[in-house]
Amino acid sequence: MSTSDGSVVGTTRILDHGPASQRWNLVIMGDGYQASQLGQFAADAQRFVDTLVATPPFDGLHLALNVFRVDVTSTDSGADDPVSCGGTGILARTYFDASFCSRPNIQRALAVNNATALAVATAQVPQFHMAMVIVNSTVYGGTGGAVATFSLASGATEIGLHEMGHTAFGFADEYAYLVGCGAETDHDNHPPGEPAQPNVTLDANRATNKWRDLVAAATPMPTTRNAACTKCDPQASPVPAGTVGAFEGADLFHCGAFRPEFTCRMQALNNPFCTVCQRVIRRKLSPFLPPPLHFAGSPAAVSWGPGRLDFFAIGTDGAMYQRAWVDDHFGDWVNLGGHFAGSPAAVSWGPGRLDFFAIGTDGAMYQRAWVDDHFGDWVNLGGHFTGSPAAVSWGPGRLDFFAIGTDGAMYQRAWVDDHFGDWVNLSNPVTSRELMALTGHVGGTVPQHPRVNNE
Amino acid sequence: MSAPDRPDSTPSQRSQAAVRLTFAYDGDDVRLLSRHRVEMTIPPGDALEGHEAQAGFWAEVRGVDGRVLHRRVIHDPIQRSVELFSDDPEQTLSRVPVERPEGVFTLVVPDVEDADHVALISSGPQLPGARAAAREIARFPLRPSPPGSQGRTP
Repeated sequence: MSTSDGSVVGTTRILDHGPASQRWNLVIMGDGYQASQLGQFAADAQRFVDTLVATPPFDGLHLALNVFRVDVTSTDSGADDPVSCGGTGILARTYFDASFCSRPNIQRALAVNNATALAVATAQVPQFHMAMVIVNSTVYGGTGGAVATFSLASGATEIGLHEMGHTAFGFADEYAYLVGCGAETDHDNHPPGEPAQPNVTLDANRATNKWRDLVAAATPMPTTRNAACTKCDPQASPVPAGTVGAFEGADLFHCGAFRPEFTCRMQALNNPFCTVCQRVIRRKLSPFLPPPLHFAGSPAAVSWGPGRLDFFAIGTDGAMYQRAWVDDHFGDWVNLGGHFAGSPAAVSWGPGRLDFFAIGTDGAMYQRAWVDDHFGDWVNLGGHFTGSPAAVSWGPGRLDFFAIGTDGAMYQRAWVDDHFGDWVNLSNPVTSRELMALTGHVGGTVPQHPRVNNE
Repeated sequence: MSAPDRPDSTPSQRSQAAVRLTFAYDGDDVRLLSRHRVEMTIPPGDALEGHEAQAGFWAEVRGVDGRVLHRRVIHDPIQRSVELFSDDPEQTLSRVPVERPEGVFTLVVPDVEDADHVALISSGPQLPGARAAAREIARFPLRPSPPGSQGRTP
């Protein structure tokens, strides 16, 4: 039950929004996964990522994030589950030594060896900001601290999100007890000293409260008071959900400390982060967002059918960028790479197919396609051109594209019968061969071929 | 065939020299285990002033003259209680006290010009009754120093 019971296989970037030195980096490790179960771990890690990027405010900040999955094998599957806590008594030989019952008599206290986990995270992703371990067990459990740990039980991903609030953003607990409501007598009144954390306060004064700019004039301050400080406040919220105010009972005490909303993920799992927490997260993550894109030249846009738009432009960094309107919203910008001059051209011959073109800084024309749900590679079509290309399709399987050569002539080339034909100089008097080329029968020698062909 | 070469990324505008410090603690006794320099972006710090009477835990990067250059409020990394989670909707969160806190944690701080050391500031365990303002519990040089000089409690 140590690092001798497995090995670190490798690291995969499963959410990639740029260099690790410039993004906020989450590391997800697995414990209790045998080598044959790494595929399952990949799915489990992806499930957390899917939840994370759909969770406000991360849904609007996902471009700031990278997520790294560290594949770690263990000799055995699962985690220790001591009988003393009502468990099965299983002793699992795992790399991070995952064990339920890490606190006496509390089975759900699932923890790992944090020192090992931090060492692996540091070695695999030196720029990591937060580390978590998913334990391969369907028994509910987890713990927080330097490493967030949680199992595969339904709802356990909430543990990871709550712990991100602590570890990554410095939030305090917003619940009004330590051990539990009615289970203690020494958490009635918060001790003096304003908490440094941004989401709890002793100050419910409208004029000086730390989140006063978010409190509406009509909202009472404090918004709730606990009438009996020997127990948790049982009253329901007197204001609509999402109202920012000062609700008594926070920072592990029944009275004397206030939280900004009636509910928050830092107060109870399965709630959104409150407005104050979301603002802090945005502030902390905004430096990790990529700079706004800037473009040169003109965009190209195309549609392959109802409800679908794709548009392209050349960035000031010379790369081509694409973005789509699909499922009633705009997707992310996709950096298609390259180093281009002028403006792009785009065309679709039918659903699921896009072809786009641009002139490289080396003067050659390049083409790339979206087909079978992914982008293909850039194809160098050669030539030596200036300005911007034009492209068109008259139907499935047929593309024609045009550009002006550095000799001032217009050139055309076609995709037909599943291959590219030759360049045709259209500035010469029309020949029967060129007519054949325009109708798809391409090949043979073309007069005044573009001066440089990089193919 | 491929498009003309282009760097994978534009030069960093925000990443900076930083130091990842890994600590071990036994109660409020904090030891520095390792120090790694790394080029990365660090979340913005917290207010450098106006927190003198506050409670909690934060790290300060200071110059040789003691001037605070960077301050970051963090959730108390010394686990005086362990957070527990439950799928019982009536009480999804709770904590259980830890009699003798011991463990490890990491901290990344900017290695800014003029930075000399990192100080850890803590108001200690959150106990009922009066609570003292936070105080420095340890400081560590940001750069390697002669053996035996690392980490000292003021």
